[in-house]
Amino acid sequence: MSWIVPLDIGLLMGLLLAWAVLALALGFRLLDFPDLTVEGSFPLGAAVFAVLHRTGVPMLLSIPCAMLAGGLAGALTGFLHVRFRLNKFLSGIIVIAIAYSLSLRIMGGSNIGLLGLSSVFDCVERLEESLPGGVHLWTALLLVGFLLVGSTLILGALATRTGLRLRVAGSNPNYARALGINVPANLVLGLAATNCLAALSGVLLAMHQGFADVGMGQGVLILALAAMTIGERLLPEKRLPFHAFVLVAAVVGSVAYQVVVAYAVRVGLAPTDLKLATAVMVLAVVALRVSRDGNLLSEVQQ
Amino acid sequence: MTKSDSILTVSNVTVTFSRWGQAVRAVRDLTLSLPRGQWVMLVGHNGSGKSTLLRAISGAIRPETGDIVLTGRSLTDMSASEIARSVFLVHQDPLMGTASTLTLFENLLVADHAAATANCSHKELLGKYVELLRPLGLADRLKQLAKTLSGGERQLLALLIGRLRPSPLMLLDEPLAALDPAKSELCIEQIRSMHAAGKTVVQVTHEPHLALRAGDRTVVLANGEIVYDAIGDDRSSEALRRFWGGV
Amino acid sequence: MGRLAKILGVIAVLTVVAIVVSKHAATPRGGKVVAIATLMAHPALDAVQRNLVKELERQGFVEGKNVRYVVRNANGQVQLASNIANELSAQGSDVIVAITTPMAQAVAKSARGPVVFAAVTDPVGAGLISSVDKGEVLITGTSDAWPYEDQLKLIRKITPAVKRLGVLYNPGEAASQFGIKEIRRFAPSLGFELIEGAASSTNDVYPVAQNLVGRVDALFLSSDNTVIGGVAAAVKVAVEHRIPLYVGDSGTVEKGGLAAVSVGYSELGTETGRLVARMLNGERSIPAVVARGSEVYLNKKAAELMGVSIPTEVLQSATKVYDEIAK
Repeated sequence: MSWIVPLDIGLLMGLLLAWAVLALALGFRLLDFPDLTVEGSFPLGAAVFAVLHRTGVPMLLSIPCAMLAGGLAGALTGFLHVRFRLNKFLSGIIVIAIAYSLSLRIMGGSNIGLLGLSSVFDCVERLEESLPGGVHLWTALLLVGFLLVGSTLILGALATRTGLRLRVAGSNPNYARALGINVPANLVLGLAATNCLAALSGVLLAMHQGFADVGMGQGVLILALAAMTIGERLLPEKRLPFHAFVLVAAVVGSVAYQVVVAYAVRVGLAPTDLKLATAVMVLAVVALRVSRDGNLLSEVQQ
Repeated sequence: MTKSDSILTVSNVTVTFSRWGQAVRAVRDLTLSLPRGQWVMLVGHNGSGKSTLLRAISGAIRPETGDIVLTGRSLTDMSASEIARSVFLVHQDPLMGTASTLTLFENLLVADHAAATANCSHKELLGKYVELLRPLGLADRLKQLAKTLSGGERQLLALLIGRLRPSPLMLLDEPLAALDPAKSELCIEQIRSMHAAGKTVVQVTHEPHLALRAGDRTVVLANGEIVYDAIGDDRSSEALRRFWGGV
Repeated sequence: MGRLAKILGVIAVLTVVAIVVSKHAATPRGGKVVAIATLMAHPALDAVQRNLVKELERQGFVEGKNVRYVVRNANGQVQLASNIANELSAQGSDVIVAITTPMAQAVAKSARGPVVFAAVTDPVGAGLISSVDKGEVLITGTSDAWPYEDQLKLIRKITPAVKRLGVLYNPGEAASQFGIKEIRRFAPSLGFELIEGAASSTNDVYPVAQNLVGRVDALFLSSDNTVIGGVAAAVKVAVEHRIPLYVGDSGTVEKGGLAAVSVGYSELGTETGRLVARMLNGERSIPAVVARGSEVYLNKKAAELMGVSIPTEVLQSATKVYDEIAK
């Protein structure tokens, strides 16, 4: 019986953090931008949401504001890169630092409690009280619903003319220029969009765990990178259109990674060994599927 | 030939590179004028300045001196998107002229200027693209990613994309370099129909046969200067051999 | 979609199995289960945990006999807090002890049984409870809020002539936001006139302290990681101008603070243990406990350099007296 609990928790956490993984994966695969900003936009989103929600702003207004804050962080990373020709990693690192201080300033402290305030999970949590064993079935279903709606919107947006231009700019910048596409503007726009998702992830986690903390972004980048890698190795890449593959792989990878983390926590691994255990598991998945790393992900563009 | 019916005028253009600290003059004081609708074969040894000239015309590099006038306007006065609407460059490397993570349909759609302005339905576009791809043998692969195509197939796609662009001037930098004979033939066919549709074409080639037979005009470059320029039947294999040594 | 379908299928089946099986989930073989969740390993927090177990043993809950501990540590990763909280809640333990503010919030959110938090500076501000004095159903705990009243009283005892008290703090820290409010509350009744100096980074400590010295009779550092980080600068200013510098924990006294009344984390663990025992015995609504400052630390060398003579009765009541200023 006990092995089922980590599965439940892993599913729940994986679905909550899937948005952050999506943000990283979309930046990585569609914009060809290894975007470190997620580590900053994640807690920034949570911070903005917590402050607004606690001062009485309705939840449904606080969430878009928080996403916008994350989006601005992403846009800043893109701007630093295209305007000042700053290295992609360095741009991200600078924005992480800015977002950290900004989160502290906005919250006026390191932590804001959200216990007792309304959240999107209120209705499902009430349903779960009747479920035995504390299984988060309804929360998970709600999160799957969010992801389905979100993915549909993202896929729809990527298929529009604007989306196509964005993808060309990411896939082959020289070619995009030949088509008259403004590559820098598209990069800034794309990073703004992906970091909105990272901020949303921060908001969802804050709501679920009942607090926003300035430290909650720490490790999100590593976690998202690991989840993305696992997802891409687990999925059959040829069966899906490229961007759909990226989306699904992010979600599947996020859940798979969190299930493993939950098992590691369950076993009661010493804190010092926990990170090693998850690292070993990522390596194991990568090593097992190394032969499958076909031309899709490794192809050198142009 | 008056200035008004010429689509491209290159006047006294010099392009200089810095290569390992040394100034290399790739194009020297070059002057060239192209009437609308002409198909020019551009030949020359490696390093003679062909690619550099094409890159300068497409706005990718800025000449040190001289002026390039495209459709009546100086290149320096045009915005990036205006240049993109006036000239389109197809590279020797097939991977450079397509977006690998987009499907064939999406690749065509994003380049299709007419479709963007005409507000066509999805179904109409599908029909149009299937018809365009059919002669290339790619009609059934409309929904596949461009990266699933072979190099030759991608070059065919790149040329088709060029056909859909609004630009009246097409620059083709050795488009047939990596292709097998069958694909080459299809590519030539593409260029021919592009030309027939009214586009002005500048095509770089290393094939002596093509240099002499295809197109309306042959221009030979050496050391960044035009050493031979002949139109139609005036082109002779003997002269070509003298200036280029290829025949 | 083959493999994807398989993966989703397995997840779906396992979730259904989880619901069915969990109905038959049995509480582990007799006795009580106490779950302990902490955010990180840290000398003070470890002391809380150790003394909690000791106190429960004194109350008759002996590990391995009639009580079992399940301990989880997030290793400093805040996103793991929720994971651990959910996992411990699903274990069906009799009491969950949550150490540190984020862990307490995550556990309070997910737990359905009794929760005892520990080492939370401001449980009301964190949204855990609505008031420190009233008991709340299923949740109680201990606060490690600094004993500001006791600290101010100590200042009065050692240097009765001080009227204007300069307080250095970083307005960006949650603990200081709480601390400055407490200091403002107690200062007037003890005859202090407050002059506040805001230092938003460690580098600001020196100029801000310099700026204060002409206008105050003594300096006081609140519970503030920024200012404590720059304490050497404050010590330098205090010694140069021969005015007393009061602080709030033993480590800072060792580094040159004149005196401090500190939270005893061992005692906090014992208090937490008492609350856990009451929960285990079936009590459900217990008021939270705020740590009493009990441990007085003094630095003789600092007193000499700052021109202060410490009364003998204070010296005798001290938990520890340092003779040198640590580098």
